[in-house]
This record gives sequence, C-alpha cells and structure tokens, in this order.
Amino acid sequence: MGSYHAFGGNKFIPDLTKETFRTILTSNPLYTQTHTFYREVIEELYPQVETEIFAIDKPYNQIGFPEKGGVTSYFSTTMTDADLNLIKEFLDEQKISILLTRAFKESGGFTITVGSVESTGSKHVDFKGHRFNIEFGEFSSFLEECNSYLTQAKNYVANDT
Amino acid sequence: MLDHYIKTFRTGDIEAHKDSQREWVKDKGPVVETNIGYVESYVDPENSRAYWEGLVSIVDKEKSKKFGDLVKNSESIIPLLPWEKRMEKENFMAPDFTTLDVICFASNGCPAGINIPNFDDVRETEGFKNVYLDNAIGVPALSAM
Repeated sequence: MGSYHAFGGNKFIPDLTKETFRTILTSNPLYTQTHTFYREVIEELYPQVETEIFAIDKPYNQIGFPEKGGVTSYFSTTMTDADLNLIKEFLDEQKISILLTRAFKESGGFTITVGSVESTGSKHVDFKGHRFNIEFGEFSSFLEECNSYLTQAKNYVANDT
Repeated sequence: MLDHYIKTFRTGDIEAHKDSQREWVKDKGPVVETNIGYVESYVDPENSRAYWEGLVSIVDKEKSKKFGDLVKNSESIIPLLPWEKRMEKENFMAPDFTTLDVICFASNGCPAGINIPNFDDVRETEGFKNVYLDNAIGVPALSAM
C-alpha cells in the first residue's frame, strides 16, 4: 500500500524518482550475490509494490473506505457498508473477535482471515443467505516465530504474572 | 502472561489475549515493561481491526520518582491552578504514572504514551496502566508522522 501517516491516514512517498530508488536498492552488495533473501525481495516482491509506494493520486493518497475513495488492506475494495455490517454481525454470532481479522469479498460470499499460528477451526458457514469461509492461520509464520521467542522469554521472567 | 500470549497467537482466540492483559495490569511498576499483540485499531477505516505492536521499555527510576511526586501532590496543586473550580472534575483521582524509555516499539508509529488494555471488560474490572514514553517525545517529527 505504501506509507501513510499514523494520524490522519495521508500518504507520503519517497522524495526521489522510481529509477533513483531502484538504483539505491540494486547497489546493495547483497543484490549481486545469487540466492540471497535480499535479491529475492528486490526481484520478486518489490515490483509488486513499487507502483503503490509511489502512487500519490486518488484513491492511493488516503486510508479510508474504498467506497468513499480511500484504500485499506483490511478488506476488499468492493466491500460496501452493508457487507461490512453483515460481516460484523456474522463475527459476533461466531464469537470471533474482529480485531484479528481481515475480510475479502468473493462471488457468492466472503472469506474472513484470522491471525493465528494454527489453521484449526477453519470452516464454511452459511449466514443470512451468504457463504462465509473462515480461514484461521493468517500470518502463521510470523506469529510462530513470535511465539518461539515468547517461549524463550519465559526463562527470564521476574515473577508469576 | 506469556502463556496467554502464546495461546492467543497460536489459536487466534482473543479471550486468551484478554487473560494476558489481566495478568499484565496486575504486574505493577515492573522494571522492564512490555506488551505485544493486535492492540490498536486506528488504521482500519471501521476502527475495528487491529494492527500489530510489540513494545519493550525500561523504567527511568529517577524521572518516575519526580513525576510520581508531582502526581502525588496533584490533589493539592490542582486547586491552585488559575482557572475556576468548575473547570475541573469534582473528585480528582491521582492516576498511576510511570516514565519509560522505549528500547523497541515494533509497529507503524511510536506514540508518546500508552493507556491499555483497550478491552472495556478488562479495564472496568482489572484496571489499566498509564505510561509515558519519555524518549519518544524527543522525536516529535517522527512520531507525529
């Protein structure tokens, strides 16, 4: 999505051209070596995000509801107010906290992703004439790494809390 | 607390995160203060979905004592302020106050202070913590962005 101010959600972009920025990225010695993670990021991931990093025109200039001309990566750009309300109602009914979720609109229904290591609990549910697909396990690898460090931290705690 | 954190990240169950925060508020005045998880929801257009934050900080004992004294005396200082009494709350409760220096704040922005947890049911029964992130104030240009 690019970079946005934490307060107000306005976008800011690098004060240089895409070409200059690319020159900086590719001048890192790691780039000349094959099979480095750095090279992989620049070759494969960077082209996917380059346009949005530098895009300052609408709707990319503001975090907000896609319907009202903003961007967000928490839910699909096709999501309407009615869809979002339905999703909240569904999550309440399923006793899943919206805090850890993202929502995607697909033909015939919605997919709700939940941040967790395990994907246990993933299921399909029909709710008010829409098909909901709940997918646990989003950001699994990051959360797993986090948990491994939290487990190690248990050796150094000062008290029971 | 750590066990509850591990459970919530493993299963996606928010109740475990609430439990971690219940333990966290009980741990009053630790030397090393931490918090982690899906905490604040400012970036979601619906203000419902949270983003990740992880914080490690240490207590500045000297400064905390100074601010602590100020807070302790606040009930006698506030009536001296040059505005009318009706501008103030009827009963002023001196809050708990700690000054921290941030070692690492892994998120999309570093605030000047934190008041968590955000779960109302935990705040009402177990309470919350107020902390001031002293070394975050020195870089207003960065934290305001």
